[in-house]
Order: sequence, then structure tokens, then C-alpha cells
Amino acid sequence: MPEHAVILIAEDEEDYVFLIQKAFTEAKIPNPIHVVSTGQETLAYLKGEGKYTNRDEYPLPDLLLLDLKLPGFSGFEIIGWARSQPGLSGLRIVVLTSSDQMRDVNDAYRLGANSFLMKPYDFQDLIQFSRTINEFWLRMSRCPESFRTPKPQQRDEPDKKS
Amino acid sequence: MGDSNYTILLVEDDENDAMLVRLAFQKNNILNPIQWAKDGLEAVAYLNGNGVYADRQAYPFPDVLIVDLKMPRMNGLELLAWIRDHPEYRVIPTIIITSSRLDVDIEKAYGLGANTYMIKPPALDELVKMVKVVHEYWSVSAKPKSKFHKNAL
Repeated sequence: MPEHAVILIAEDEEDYVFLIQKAFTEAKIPNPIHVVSTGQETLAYLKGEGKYTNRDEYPLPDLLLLDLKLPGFSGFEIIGWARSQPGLSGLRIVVLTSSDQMRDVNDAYRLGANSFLMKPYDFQDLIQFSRTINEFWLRMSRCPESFRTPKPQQRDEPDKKS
Repeated sequence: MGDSNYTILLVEDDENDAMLVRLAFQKNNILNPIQWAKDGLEAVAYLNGNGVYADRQAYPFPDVLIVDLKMPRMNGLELLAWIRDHPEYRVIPTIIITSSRLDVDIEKAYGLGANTYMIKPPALDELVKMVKVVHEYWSVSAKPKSKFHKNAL
């Protein structure tokens, strides 16, 4: 059911996370939202490690909203890693950023992001933003069923660049 | 960063379906330029600027592709695979709009780099709604610029 599809937000700005969650609530979007705030936590969630082994509580998300600037692994590294995992090809990755650099846009798409959005900071804009994301990614765009219930796979570590 | 007047290359073998997509855009009062390629091979020629497509005034490089899966000569998945092998074109957002509901097709399409996959609705009014949602979203989503685009950085 589309209402149960999970949204995973990878964002370290706590205040912004709070705003987004509030916006989704205002927009009456019922989907569960999980939040990770570092690159490592994002990877752990996607790999199903640690507490994220419990896929009943932490299902693979229909949509990942990913900030480019995360502590630890960068958003670009997360995209690159996810796209090297055959079991995650159905993961829709939408970059969310304050960066307005065209170069970042090109790089994100080149690495395999599905889409790239500037972060709205105005609350009314955020509500509209939530609606647009809900309509397009959760209601209209299809996620493969096989992605939601994957076969167990080995997932490799990305190289951590210092 | 969003741009609502993006150029669409519609890759669709069925002339009626292509006309319906154009109609759906019109009914939404969306006036974006829509170019049409009748199958994957023609889309390749368009992207490469071969033959008539060398005229980039008449046939501008697309910002977004809307691609059907079932096409003769070169189908949608084969086109995705070709695009993936050509890094200069790989960045273009590809929107699959097809009648196939098969999970294996959805999985393969994403695996080959499709940005999104939508199932073609049978009724025109649903298609009109779909086009509205697609346009609202892709007007806001930043789109990459390759060296083939006008004003490329």
C-alpha cells in the first residue's frame, strides 16, 4: 500500500529534520519517516546492520532523501556505493541540498541519483514540497516489489576516503 | 535551479499513444517542446545528432526523455542500456512510461538507470493527471546539463 511506503531522510541538521516531518504531517502524508544523520548510519540502514537488521521495524525505503553534506561519508559516496549494489538498484535516491552548484547536479546524476532538489526553508514551501514528493515518488512512480522484499545479499563496504 | 521549460524527447512507437501524450500536455496547458522519436534507434540518432537531427535549432538536445518500453528495432530497456554505455548521455533523466506492470521490467529499468517508472493509464483523464504530476515535479527537480545543452557550463 502506498501509505506504508517508508521515506528515509539522511540529514544532519536536526532543526531541518523537524521542519520536514512537520511539513509531511501538515500535508497529511501518512507514510512512516525514518531519519539517519550520518553517512555511516545511512549505510547501516541500507545494509540492514545493527538495529536496522529488523526489517519489520526498518524496512527498505521507497525513497531516500539524501543531503549531500553528511558527517562521515558524503552524499556522493552514498550514491556511488548504493549504485554498486545490485540489490539496491530499485532504491530511488533524491538528493536534497542547499548547494546550487551546477557541478553538484551533474555529479549527482552521473553517480546515479534519480533526482536533485533544492531544500526549501520556508515552511509553506516545504508543505508543497512534501505534497509534490508524495504525489510523484510515492503515488505515481513505481518501486519494484522485489526491492521491498529482497533476497539476502552480501553488501560491500565502500572505501572511506579521509 | 528548477526549469519548467525543459525540452522533452518522447520515445514511443505507437503514433496514437504519442498523440495522447501530446494531448495530455496540451490539456494541462503545458507548452514545453516535445520532440518525438519512434523507437530506440531513432532516439539514438536524435541524441547523436545524426542525419536531420544535426540541426539543433529544429531538434534541440533534450533535457528529459519519456520512454516507452515496448518498441520495435530497439526497445526501451535496450535504449536505457545504450544510454548507460554512453556516459555523455547517461545524465539525462529518463522517465519510463509504459503499459508493462511486470515487476521484472520495473526492476530492470531501474537497474539500467531509469530515473523513474510509471505505468501508462488506460484513460485519457488519468494520463492528463499523470502528465500534470510529472511536469510539476520535473519543473522543480534540477536537471543536469551536458556539453550538448545550450548554455552548458
